[in-house]
Amino acid sequence: MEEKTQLFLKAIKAYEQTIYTVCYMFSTDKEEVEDLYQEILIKLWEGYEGFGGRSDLKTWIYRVSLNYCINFGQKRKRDKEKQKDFSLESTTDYEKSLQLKQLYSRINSLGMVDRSVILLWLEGLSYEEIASIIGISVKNVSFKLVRIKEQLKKMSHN
Amino acid sequence: MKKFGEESIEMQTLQAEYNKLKSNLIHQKQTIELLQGKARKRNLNKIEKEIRNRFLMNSLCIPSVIIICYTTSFHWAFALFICLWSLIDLCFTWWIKKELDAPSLLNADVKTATIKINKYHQFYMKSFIVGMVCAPIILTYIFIHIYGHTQHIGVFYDMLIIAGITILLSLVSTVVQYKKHQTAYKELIDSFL
Repeated sequence: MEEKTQLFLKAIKAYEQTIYTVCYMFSTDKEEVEDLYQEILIKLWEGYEGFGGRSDLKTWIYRVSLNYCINFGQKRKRDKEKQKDFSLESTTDYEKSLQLKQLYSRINSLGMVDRSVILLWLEGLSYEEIASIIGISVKNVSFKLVRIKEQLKKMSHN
Repeated sequence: MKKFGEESIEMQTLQAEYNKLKSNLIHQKQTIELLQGKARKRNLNKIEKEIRNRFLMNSLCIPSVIIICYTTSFHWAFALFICLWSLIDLCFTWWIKKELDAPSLLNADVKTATIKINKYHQFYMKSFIVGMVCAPIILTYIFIHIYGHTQHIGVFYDMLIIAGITILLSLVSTVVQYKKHQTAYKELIDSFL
């Protein structure tokens, strides 16, 4: 296998779990999630040559993945497609499924940018990293997280 | 680094649930990949069996035809034709087996795998068409030859019926084999897509 391909695969391997989870947060349909995931990998592959280490690899991967997912989410909203029921196929445990359903509905109720912010925060990124990926200021990140916290509190009371 | 919401129960719960979801999804993905791998292997085994049977038939055909033609009154040219056909088919089968390279196919990328599988499918289609054309002709020749050497004139219609049934059975058998191949081919392609 080409050296470039090997380097790319090595780089992506560390983040494939995260990319897949992010895709899952932007779609309820299993096949759509798989398509999103594959398309993000293609985008990353296409951009890898031009990437050239200008920024942090982690930041670049998150940025490409989230931008693609946000565009996808916005396009879906415009097309006004009905969302299919959430299902975690291999889960037979109803309680576990319900918990994850609640998690999904909470995050899914947020706007595209807020969803990205909270996902990056859940991934353990710093405010500065989140700001750099989303393209907003650090202060804005802090403000958004406060607002998200309030929204989540309201949801859990409801 | 400022850590937001460390005291917030909602955020802690969200973090815990998110981590659970992440590990769940990966486990699910790995299970699906494992199952897909098994499906590919199973479908590939069917194709390999097809190729092995082909090898066997061609290998058995050559000595069988030689023995039959030697012990009966068939013309040597007929024996030569059948043997050559079997030999050519054997060589092509060996070539396509090499091209398919089944052991490496399981780990190949989608594009390479589908190209190789389609190549094998095209080879099968061509040999199927040749077989469908040649088999009735060869069988007809055999029965004409047998009839020509019988001493009972009255068996013409019996021979005709037997020849017809034999040709029909051979065509049906070929079509059944073809349908089996089509199913195996489609399943194999689908398992890679």
